[in-house]
Amino acid sequence: MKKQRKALSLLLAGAMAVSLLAGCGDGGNANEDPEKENTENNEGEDSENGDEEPVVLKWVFPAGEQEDAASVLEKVNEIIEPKIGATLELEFVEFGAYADKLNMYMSSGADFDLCYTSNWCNDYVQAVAKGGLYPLDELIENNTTLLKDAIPEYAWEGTKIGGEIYAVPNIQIMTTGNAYYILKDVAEKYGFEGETADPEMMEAFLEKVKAGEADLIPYLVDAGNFADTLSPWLTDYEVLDSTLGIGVKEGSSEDVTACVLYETEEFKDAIATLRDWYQKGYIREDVASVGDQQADLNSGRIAVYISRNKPGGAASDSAMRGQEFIMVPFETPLVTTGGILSTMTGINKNSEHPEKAIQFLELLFTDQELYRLLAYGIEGTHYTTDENGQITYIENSGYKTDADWAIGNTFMGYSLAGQEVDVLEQTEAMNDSATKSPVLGFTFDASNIQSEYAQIASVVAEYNLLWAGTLDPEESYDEFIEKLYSAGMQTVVDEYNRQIQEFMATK
Amino acid sequence: MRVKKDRAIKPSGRKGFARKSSWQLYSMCAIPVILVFLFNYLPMGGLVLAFKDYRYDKGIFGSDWVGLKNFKFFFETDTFSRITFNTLFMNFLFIVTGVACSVGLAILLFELRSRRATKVFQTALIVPNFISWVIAAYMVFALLSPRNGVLNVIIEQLGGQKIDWYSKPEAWIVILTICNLWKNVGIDSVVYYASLMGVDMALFEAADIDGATKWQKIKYIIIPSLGPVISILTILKIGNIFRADFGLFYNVTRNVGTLYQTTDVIDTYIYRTMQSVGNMGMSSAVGLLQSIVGFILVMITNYVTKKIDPDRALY
Repeated sequence: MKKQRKALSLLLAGAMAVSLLAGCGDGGNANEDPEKENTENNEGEDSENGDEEPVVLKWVFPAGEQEDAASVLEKVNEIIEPKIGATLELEFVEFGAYADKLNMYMSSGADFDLCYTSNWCNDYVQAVAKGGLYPLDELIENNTTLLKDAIPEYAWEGTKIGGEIYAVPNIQIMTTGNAYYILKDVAEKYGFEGETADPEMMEAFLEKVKAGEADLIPYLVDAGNFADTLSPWLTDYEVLDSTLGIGVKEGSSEDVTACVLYETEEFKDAIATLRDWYQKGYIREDVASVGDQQADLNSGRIAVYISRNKPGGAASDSAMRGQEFIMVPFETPLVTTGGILSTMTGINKNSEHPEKAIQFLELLFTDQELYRLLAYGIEGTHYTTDENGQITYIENSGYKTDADWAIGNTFMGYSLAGQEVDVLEQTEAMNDSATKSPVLGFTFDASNIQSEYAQIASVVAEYNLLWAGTLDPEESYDEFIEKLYSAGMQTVVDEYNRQIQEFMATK
Repeated sequence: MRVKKDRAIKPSGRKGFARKSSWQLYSMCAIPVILVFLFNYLPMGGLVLAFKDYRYDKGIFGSDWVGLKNFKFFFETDTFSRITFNTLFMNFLFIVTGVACSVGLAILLFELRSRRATKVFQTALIVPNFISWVIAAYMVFALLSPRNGVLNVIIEQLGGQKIDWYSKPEAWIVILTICNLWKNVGIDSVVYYASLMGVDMALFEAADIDGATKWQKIKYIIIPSLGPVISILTILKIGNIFRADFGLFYNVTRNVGTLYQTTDVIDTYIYRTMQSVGNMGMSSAVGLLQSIVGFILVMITNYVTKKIDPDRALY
């Protein structure tokens, strides 16, 4: 009996010890699907036999579940099936869950063909580094004729990693550069004037708002968003990585070197000012612990926030938030790699029909009807058009993706009623006329500095309240810099400069 | 729980596995055994990831071997000593306060004469266990928020200065301990209470006749009879001492950077860094490390317990 008991408890203990391990073993085993390896063998067949059973392309679509997707897809398939011999199937995943879901899909070798990828959601560079996305140069060359010209050259340039394109850039506003968004009635009441602004003007305005409006939070900061929060001060720099705080000085096309933004005078000035604003009550007192502030923004409790400087920005943000805002730019627009990487569509490395997928993308970028169907639904059922050619969504129609900017060329779409009529033309003009960054097309390969990256990210997370005003720079700034360097900042800067030089040499 | 299982299996186990009459019992075991195999043993193959540079296109077994590189980052980090200390210290605190409070509660429940009251208290104590940390975090936030948290409102009413709890790392040692007790003490005390029910009532009657006080009864009857359960539960908890309750440390602190000094534990650190790097190899490496350390700790604790009193050891 004793022995039996012993064996049993050992088993039990073993099981418990093992259950501890279970967490890290996930995401495995589904990968050994031998079919996946056969894409090469299939390639020839698919494109030659036109009248065979159409292949199904599965697109993990970045939007919430759409009730009436079936009727839209029916029309979509009517267009694409005769042309490329494929039908489309959509799996809807909303943005909040998209990155996690795609990470899981890619790591488990799930079966899908097309997906959204970008520098902020389902990270493009990481996906490429880990072999999640299909290299496109040859595919585009062999299977399409119009796609290459449907997208501006500089946009293709921006998507290149090691000289190879891994995703098709969606076309929307491609520039970075920010603006203050100010509640319209507050701006009018306290006399905010000017076409552009800077932190000093803002300070004078905030002082009046604070004195006059007890219920309002005058100024929004988001410690988790370094690039936007610091952008009014770092106007002379292009941020290359907002976690590492690496950037280059704008306009210096000859001698481009990476610098640590945390060490610039502008940064020190910014955190001193933000600390001052926090103490004066321009920044909410619970900024450290508040988390998501969207609800406060949408209920009009925040007077000023920072967002992208773009044509029609005020109108679209006002529509989204249900509050009237005006937009006051403080940065000149610049076409950067980051601006281009912010929305793209990629093809799964494990896709069985990559050549169909790229042909579908070609259609999407050249066939206006197709794009409009997927972006807005069916006219009359899901939206109505007015005499200006602008659209209004029909409420509860069962198809409203809000993803026109994430799936193709927005300039082939509509503007919304309430926006300026020529907002799309303005945006396109802004893209084309804006200065191009000297490092446009440069993407950093972080695989050599993974350990440093992880450690620096952790240090930054610990000290990011420096730019929310709750940490006193006098006490914490030196400590912050010291920890950054002991986490390996110098290695990172050197690696950046090495890669930038390599990049400049190939240009 | 364990005790129960033992009892159920003992009679059949006595004469060996092949005994005919016990096949029903074994077939009842089959499903859980299969599940344990499927979900706990099979995924262990994935542990090879800890030694590999994982790429989606090459798959788990096709990716390149990188030796111990994935482990290096964890030891290289400056914060290694801090997160290790926090994890061990906070868990130690949780275990000590947890055992003390749940044994205390079990005794109080045991002393209650009314069945009804016992049920009411038991239920009330267990309920927090079913509330997720995410919700608990909002409850804590409602209490402590610097803007209009209940506690700060009271402090202000009494004429004091508002306190920004989320910028006071020291305070969180206490706050988190209280949260942990709030959530776990009920369920543990029920386990202790259940084993108290099994104590021979004759002992108490004898003690009454000898004129023992309440305190003496607790000291000489209750605590000794709870001993084995306490030590088994504690050994199991020590096995997890290198593994922090992620929900508690991440959600309840709202991941506020200022609090990392005292609240950053291995699990939250790994989560945060992996969120930025997304490296599966590194996270598997740390998971494996935690399990190995946990395993070693269980063995040591069990060994020591056995040396002191063989009856109280787990195996």
